[in-house]
Amino acid sequence: MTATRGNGHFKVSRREFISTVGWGALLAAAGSCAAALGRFLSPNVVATIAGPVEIGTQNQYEIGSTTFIEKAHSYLIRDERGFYAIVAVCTHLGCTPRREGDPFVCPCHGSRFTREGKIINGPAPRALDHAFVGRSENGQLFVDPSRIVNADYRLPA
Amino acid sequence: MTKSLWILMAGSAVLLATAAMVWSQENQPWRTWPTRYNAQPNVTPVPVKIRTLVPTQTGKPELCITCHVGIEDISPSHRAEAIGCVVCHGGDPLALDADRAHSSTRGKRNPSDLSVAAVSCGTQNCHGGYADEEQNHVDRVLKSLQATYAGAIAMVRYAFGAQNSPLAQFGVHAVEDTAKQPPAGALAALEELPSTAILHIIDPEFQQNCITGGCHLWSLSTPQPYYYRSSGCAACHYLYNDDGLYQGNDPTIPRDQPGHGAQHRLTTAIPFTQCNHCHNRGNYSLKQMTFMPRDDLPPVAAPPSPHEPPEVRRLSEYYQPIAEFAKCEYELECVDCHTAREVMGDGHIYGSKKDVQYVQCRTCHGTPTTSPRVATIQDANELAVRQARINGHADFLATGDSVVETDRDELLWSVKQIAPNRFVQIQKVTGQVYEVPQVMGSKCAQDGETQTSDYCHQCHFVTR
Repeated sequence: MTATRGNGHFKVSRREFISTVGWGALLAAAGSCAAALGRFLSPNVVATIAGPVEIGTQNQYEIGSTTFIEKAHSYLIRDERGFYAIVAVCTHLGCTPRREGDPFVCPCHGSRFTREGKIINGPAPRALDHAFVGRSENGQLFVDPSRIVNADYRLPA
Repeated sequence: MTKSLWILMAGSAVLLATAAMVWSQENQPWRTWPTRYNAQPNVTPVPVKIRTLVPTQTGKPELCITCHVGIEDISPSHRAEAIGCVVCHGGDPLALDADRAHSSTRGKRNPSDLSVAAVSCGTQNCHGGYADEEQNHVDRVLKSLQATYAGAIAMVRYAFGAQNSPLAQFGVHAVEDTAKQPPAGALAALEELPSTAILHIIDPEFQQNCITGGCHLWSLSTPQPYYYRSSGCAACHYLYNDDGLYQGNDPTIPRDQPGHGAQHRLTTAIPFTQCNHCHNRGNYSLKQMTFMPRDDLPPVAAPPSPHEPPEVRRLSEYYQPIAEFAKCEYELECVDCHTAREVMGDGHIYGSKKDVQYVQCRTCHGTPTTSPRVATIQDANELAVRQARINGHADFLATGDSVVETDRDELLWSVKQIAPNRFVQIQKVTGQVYEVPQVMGSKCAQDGETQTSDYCHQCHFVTR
């Protein structure tokens, strides 16, 4: 068998056609196989460890402000002494305390904490953790919830 | 056969196999559930993908919400973001195959079933393991009359001559009070009512109809409308509609199959309708050893009209027809008067309802000569304040408030003093605040020393 295209100069034999289609199918199969295998082998869940989260420059935050940093799951607070961050995980069961007026209130069991994270009332057994707040070389502030620091820690403005 | 043909056939075979693999990946059963979720009315569609929850308490990923997408948070105190699913339910958190995911779940659908509640609800720092017995709810419930069924077992067996005394000897399961000195009226232990050995001629039928069949917290109820409930803690705290149908958004729970809670939700705001799935629905015939439902209520009588005012339904469903009761007893919910210690036990074993049900009218209304006993809240961490918060009424109570204290030193957080001889009560389910009329200063001439609720009902009863 021969195939003719255009002006008739392009001819393919049956053998060449089968061979081309066969190799094409094999390559397509190999590619699909690799993709499917890759998808099969890729984990359903990837554990991530929260690291530093950039939060802009200090001018974005006024003295007295409290800002929830979602990616760091922390509250960034600026007071007269500088910046500090409170990890938004209640020390009782791990719910996210909300800001209600000045104190933080845990919606799960009603523990309340001061703006510095100290306990007003339980059942939380201890104060909220403070996360490290730093400033990178380009002047950007960042919160690192993986680094727990002393409650007195402040990043000077 | 030529080499090219072999290549063509091999390539095609591999291509087909790959297509099958891809098809299989794309048609995994879990994909059904987010697709069905999206097909429900009034939901915001979600991408059909594997969904991961990493609870802050465990830090370990769970894939349960891939299929159970849209399931309700079980309660404000048990948020999924904090504790996830597996802490309570068990199971394989990384499995996407239903059988594998559920193969090791506790208590099937109900981790609060009393057979597993100690390891799901009653673990350290949850509802067990505290120095303060009051907080060890699972231990208390396991010894409570609602779980042991000791009073009913004793009375039935005594009535039929199966035991010589009405004193409780048996429970649904054996329990022991390890307290050095149980309070007066409490029992040291109960034996398990043998389930196979026949001690008396009534035992097989009693076992079948009342122990296995379900009049206590270890068992489920009769699976029919108006009786649906769960077991264990969920028997009271997990609300069921009268028709037993689920009304939530989890696509894996069939909405047309009765026998499911109204939503995947635990609550302390328990309406009387939930209590009535066990109580007030009829009487037990000792002669026939079976339950005789009331003929003035569904399912025997016709269902109430949906246009019927709620108070009419409450009045008709409250208490047995022969019972005498006062207006406040059907205006309030059962949980507004019956305290946690009455219902869930005080950690000791009792053999009769009269030993555990102790709140009287005078507890809140006082007597002609005395106001109710009160205690002043000294600390925001006191149990009464915590109970107000858990019940969603944190604003009702604050340090310095005085609340009613019962004869057994239990503080009623929902009844507080607002002035000398003036008290208000907040209804736990609706949050409505009532003033509680006081006997002192009224025309009531009852002798306070002998003033029990029975006497109050003589004058203050309501006619149905």
